[in-house]
Amino acid sequence: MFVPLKGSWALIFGVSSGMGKETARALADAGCNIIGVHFDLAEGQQQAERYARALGELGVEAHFFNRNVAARQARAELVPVIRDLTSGVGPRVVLHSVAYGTLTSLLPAPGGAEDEAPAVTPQQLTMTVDVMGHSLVYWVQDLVKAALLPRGAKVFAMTSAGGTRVLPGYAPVSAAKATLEAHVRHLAVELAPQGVAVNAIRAGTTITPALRKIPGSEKLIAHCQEINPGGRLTRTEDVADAIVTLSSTDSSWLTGNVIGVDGGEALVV
Amino acid sequence: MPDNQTADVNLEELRALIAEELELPLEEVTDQADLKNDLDVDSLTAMEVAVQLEKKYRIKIDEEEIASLTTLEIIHQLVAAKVEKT
Repeated sequence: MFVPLKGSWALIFGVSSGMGKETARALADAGCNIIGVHFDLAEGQQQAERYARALGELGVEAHFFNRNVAARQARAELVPVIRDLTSGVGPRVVLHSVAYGTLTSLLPAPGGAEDEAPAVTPQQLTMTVDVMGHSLVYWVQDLVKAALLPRGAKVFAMTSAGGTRVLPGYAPVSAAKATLEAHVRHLAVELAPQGVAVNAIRAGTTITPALRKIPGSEKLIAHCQEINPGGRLTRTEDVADAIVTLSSTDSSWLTGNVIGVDGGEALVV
Repeated sequence: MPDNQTADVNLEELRALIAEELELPLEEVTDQADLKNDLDVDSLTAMEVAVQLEKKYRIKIDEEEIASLTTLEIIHQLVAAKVEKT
């Protein structure tokens, strides 16, 4: 059954950029209050604060926190804040849209000097999978423990085609996305009795600050522009719209999926 | 680097801040210890250090500068130079 989002709360990890930022706006447009977590240096933090004020002007509450989403301390500090802001109910929408990882290959570049294009290090692999993959689990654990994931809540995690395919320089992030998708399936099953749906959103190639950081992204952009059957790249608005739509129901039956929001891009070669 | 340029930033305070962020005992954060190679600091933890430095010293650090935060001594110089400018 359709249930309006007005007056409910969304918890968005990665709210200062790309998909998280746009989805915050779309949810706020639908009357949903926003608790946003982001991790930025001073310059980015000021921009995020301005964005939170702009969301507030849409007539909702918007509270942003500049914290490392993967840090235990951040969860310890913010879970009580989430409880207070949502009056003990918890968020109806949780979005994990965290882009912080090492972009490199698994092996040193052939012919390149070892120090120019070195192989990925254990530190880099561990950090990337922890931030972009495991952090979803730890947040869900703490929200469940605090009884802040109510029946009807929707959890979304942003993945990409790179979770199952190979892009040069994307290897650690690819591992993180594959991990994230596995976590989504297991969380979906474990949370099914509580009526909480968990899905991954596999966006098509979308021009975001995170995409720009991928080595060779211009080539990927040009290629996807050409092959996308919809005749254009995916936009952050496409993803935001999908999340608002999927969140506007009290049904928890759509769960455990990797949902493509890409205009059919992944279906064509 | 002449001493007067780093005078405004107390080295021991800075050492304490970094040790706390890295969850390491003070004595491991020596002046010359390389955060990445000696103290096993990943880029995310380096980012946490940078955010704390910005907060405490009211300075701005560019993303590209994070990789140059290698040792306490170098961080001290960088922070002092920025504090001087503000």
